[in-house]
Amino acid sequence: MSKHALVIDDSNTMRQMVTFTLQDAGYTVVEADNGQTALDQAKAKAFDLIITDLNMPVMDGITFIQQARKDSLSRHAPILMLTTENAPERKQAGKAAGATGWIVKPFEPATLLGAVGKVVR
Amino acid sequence: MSLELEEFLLGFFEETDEQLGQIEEGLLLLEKSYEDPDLLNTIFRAAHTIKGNSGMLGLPEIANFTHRVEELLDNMRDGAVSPSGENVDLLLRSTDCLRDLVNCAKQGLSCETEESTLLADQLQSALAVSEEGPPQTDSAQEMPRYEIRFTPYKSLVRRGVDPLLLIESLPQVGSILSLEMQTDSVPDLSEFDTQKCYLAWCVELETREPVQSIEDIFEFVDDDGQVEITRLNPHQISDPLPAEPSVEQATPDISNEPSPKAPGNQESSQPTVRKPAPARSGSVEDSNESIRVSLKKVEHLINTVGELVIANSVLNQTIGATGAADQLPLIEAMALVDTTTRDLQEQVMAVRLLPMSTVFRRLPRLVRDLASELNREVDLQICGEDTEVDKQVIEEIQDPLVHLVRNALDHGLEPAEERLAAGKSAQGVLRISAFHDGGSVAIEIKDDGRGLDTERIKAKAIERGLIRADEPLTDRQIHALIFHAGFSTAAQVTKVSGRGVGMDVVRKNIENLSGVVELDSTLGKGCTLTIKLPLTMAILDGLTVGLAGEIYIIPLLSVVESIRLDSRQVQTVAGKKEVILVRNEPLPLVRLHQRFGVTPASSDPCEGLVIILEHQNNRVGLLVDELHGQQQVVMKSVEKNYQKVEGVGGATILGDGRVAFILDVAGLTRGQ
Repeated sequence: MSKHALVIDDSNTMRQMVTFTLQDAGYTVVEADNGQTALDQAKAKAFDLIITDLNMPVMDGITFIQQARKDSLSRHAPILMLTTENAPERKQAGKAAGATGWIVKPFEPATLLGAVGKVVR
Repeated sequence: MSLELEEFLLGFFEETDEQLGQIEEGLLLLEKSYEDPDLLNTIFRAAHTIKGNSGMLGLPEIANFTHRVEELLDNMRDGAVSPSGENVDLLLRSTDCLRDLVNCAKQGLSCETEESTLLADQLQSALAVSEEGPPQTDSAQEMPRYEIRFTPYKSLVRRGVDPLLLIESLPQVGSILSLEMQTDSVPDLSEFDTQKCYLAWCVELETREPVQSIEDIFEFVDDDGQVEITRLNPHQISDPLPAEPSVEQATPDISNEPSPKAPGNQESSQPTVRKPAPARSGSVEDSNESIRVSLKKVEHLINTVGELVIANSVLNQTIGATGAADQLPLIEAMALVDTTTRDLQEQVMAVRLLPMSTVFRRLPRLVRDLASELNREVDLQICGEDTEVDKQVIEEIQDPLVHLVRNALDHGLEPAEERLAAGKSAQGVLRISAFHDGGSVAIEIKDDGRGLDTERIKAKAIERGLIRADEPLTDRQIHALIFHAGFSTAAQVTKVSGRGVGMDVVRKNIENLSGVVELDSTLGKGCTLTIKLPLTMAILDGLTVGLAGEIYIIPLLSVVESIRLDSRQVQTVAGKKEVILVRNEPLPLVRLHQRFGVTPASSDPCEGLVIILEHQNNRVGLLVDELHGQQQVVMKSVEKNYQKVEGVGGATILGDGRVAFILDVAGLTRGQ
């Protein structure tokens, strides 16, 4: 049975890049373009993996992570955040909110799968 | 992958265009009101996304350049650099340059221009302080051994971390010499919380890999002493490799984060600045759910619906002709099919429609730059951005519109002194609006400048040999001369207006979209240019007329009125050219039957019907046999399927299955 991932990013390009990479690795992917839509998805379903951008309109990634950890069917799922090389404070905030790990943008598909391998069996 | 990559690239270009638009729009707003953190965040986010995407898609020039832009924006956000006019200007120029780079990438070229290098340097020097950490290098000796102590926080599992997975990954890096799990802190079952991790591990690992690769495994849990990696080789025991925060985390950060070392405390480290993006014009529609579909599919759909519309009217006529029309259920069913088809048609057409804001978004920047270059004070008013227009129209209207705006600023609006002297306010008003006008879309460019000078235009046209000095022309006809090829010449080329495109090119572009340009000008008061375009390119509102037993279709956009002539209205000029007098205005008479070499019902103009057509402010009367009515037709190209026919712009299939020609009004009015 294939694993289910939730990919959240307001940039279509980035989101699709992540989605395609995960699909190539055998995941079934659900997409969302902001934290609020993603939260609705996470409440309805237990995902095996969540990858989220941080800067997004409507609901940003940090708030999403907090909310998803607090009350959702996916509260135990590994959550990777998409960050940038020069924002250590965001990384900390993300971890405090409950993120499992992070992927630094820009990244190669192999890097993404590497990070995924660290959090998903 | 290559096909996917191509798809990504297409998406990337589209998205980047949008984001560059956002950046530009944001910067222009920033120039007006300095302190709005949300605004800077929006701009920053757009730049940030471009950087991330371009880096990932292997476009380093774009990524590197955007990185510089982003840094400066970040500095502004932190307050380290002020968003002064100078800096905003630099960023605006960088946005242009970025657009150029993206355009190059679109063509598969990678071009770091002189300008981009120059701008990159300027961006760099505009930064507050530039600091770069030394590159970290780490070389390993022969078969080093490490002790890894992994003491996770109890709350670790709440972050979705699976500690066992980490331990299990260690053999990927080296061979495990010993592995010990510490269970000391596991409580009694009664106190056991399944949401907590009570275990700790100590592993001895032998590897030639750099210590980095061990750290890498624990990347996501390596803070505040949860992971300690110690090198065990004898000569280095005294100097254990630190499990300190890595270089990037060591960057001093005083600005926010009151208690950086509180990973267990969820409240203390709220995101610092970010709020949900303000509901600015663009962001609302951006968040709409949408899918991306190739234009080809949509066009195919539109074509099919077009055929359905035709088939529907064939069916209607057949029912009428076979006398089945008295069967009520059949009629009711047909009526339902009719409405549904029309509905379907409208909705399918709507798929191709985009708001005018995509085009208008660029105007504030253009006007800003032109105004400062030409030393004009301009109040730019834009309205009707929400007006939806066919995608093709959106794409092709851009250049003509830009040209018209340039003209309005360069030739229309006067410098402040001149305006004041003329009793006007110093600031000129340029109003650009889009609105639906019946079945068409109108774009109006209105300025309150000096207006067209009829006498000067006339003089110049005579000088250029476009008209004879004694030719009697109405004001409207004189104004129309500015659309004549060869009117705009080197003598009036300025840096702004004279980029080798004259109004004739503008006109041609608009005609290619089956549109018309109208001009209304009052000397000293200003000038209004109105571009009228069909709502869609595929379906045309037509007037159906009959001639010699055939049906012809005239685009309704060009029809002014239809009249029945009185013999006194018909006159012959210079012995051969026929004109008709309509409300004392002489108009050339075009006998369509002569053009097409067919025999009309009657060759007496007073027995037939005359349709007054207007094109580029030129009017002619077109003589046909009779008027049938008004009908929407699906336009098919004659040129593509057969060859170009003079006077024919296309063809369509009528309800009864017959083919009817659509007249080319431009061709018919030309040379009259």
